[in-house]
Amino acid sequence: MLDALLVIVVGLLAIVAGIVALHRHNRQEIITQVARDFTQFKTEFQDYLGKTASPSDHPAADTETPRNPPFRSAIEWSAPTPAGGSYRWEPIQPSAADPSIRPALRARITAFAPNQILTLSVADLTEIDRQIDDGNLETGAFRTGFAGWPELTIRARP
Amino acid sequence: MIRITISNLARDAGSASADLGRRSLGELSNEGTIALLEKFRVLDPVENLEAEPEIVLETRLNKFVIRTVQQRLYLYNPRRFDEPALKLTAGQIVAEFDGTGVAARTRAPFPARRESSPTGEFGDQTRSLSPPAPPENLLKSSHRLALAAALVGLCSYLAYPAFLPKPVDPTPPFEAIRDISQIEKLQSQVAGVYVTGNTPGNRGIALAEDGTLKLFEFNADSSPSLLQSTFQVGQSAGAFVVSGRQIGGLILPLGKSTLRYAGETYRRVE
Repeated sequence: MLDALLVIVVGLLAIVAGIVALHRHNRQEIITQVARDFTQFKTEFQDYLGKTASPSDHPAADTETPRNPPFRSAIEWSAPTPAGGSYRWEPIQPSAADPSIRPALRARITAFAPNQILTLSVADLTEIDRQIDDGNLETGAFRTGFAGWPELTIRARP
Repeated sequence: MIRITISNLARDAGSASADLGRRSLGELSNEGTIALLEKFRVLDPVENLEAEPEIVLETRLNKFVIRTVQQRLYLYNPRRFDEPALKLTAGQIVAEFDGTGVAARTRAPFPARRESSPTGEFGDQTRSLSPPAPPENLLKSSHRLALAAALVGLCSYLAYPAFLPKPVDPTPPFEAIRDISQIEKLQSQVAGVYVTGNTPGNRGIALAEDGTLKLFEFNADSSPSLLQSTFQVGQSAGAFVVSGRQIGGLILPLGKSTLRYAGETYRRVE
């Protein structure tokens, strides 16, 4: 009787663990893909910033109709991100007070209506931050910003 | 001497009827008991099925219930009806009372555990009426050990996230205000439209007195992108703040015409 119970319990736990493992694997895939995309942005934007005088030469990105960046990108900007929402980019206006600050762009994910679902939790965002930055959403280049959405500040290489 | 009580059975155990009820036959010798049981054993199957007769044999120390099925006698312990019945002959049933039946076997008629298989001297005679109980140990100890290890491993796998350090939520703790009149007053005070600027890429917050909140962003070529939510007024670190669903942070009112949110300053335009 106890043996049968043990087999049943282990079987049920194995099923639950399988479902949980699948879910965790899917979450990890999404996190890894988003982290990889942001890393790709960084490389592409830094290459671009190295070739142009100032990102403010370009108009701000239209957040509703995503505008492709002014260079060939490996990212499909008009497609939804693996976690929902859309990738967006925008130039950061140079600081008049401190001209020594290098030109920068910001890549981020937005989830405006009607695609208002972004499935990244604080834990997921922290994991992405750990993979591409300092692991802290309040410091470093990768942070949560407007509406709690993630954004990565990309500065020109020194 | 064995005290006999019959149920739904004629005094000579030759016939059975549900109308006969329960009666005592007094005490009988071992031989008399065997003769009665032999007659009971060959009872008409139809009468047996309809009346469900039984004989209760009792001494000072033991009490057994005897039933018959297909000309076989089955012995039950009335104190342990969950135990399987023993198929015995009339002589073996009587032997249960004087101890010779127990002595002839290596195990008790009603073992405490069902781990013994009905083999050996009594072999076929001790086969139970009810389906044989499954052996308790279905698995080898090595298999059981492997299953236990799998159980521990699976539990650990499922539980380990609970032991990981919690990610730091950048949103400071928020305590909502419960006083309805105060909520209405504060919502009325804070209601309005605030923006960081009016050029594309700038953002805005629209707070309504009914508790609805809109975050928006100006676009270059189209109407502003919009995120709709609701908000609550409350306190955080001693300051009056606004918290909303899905907005990922707190909105801090600075005076009557300015808000601070997500590192940016918003100025009232309406």
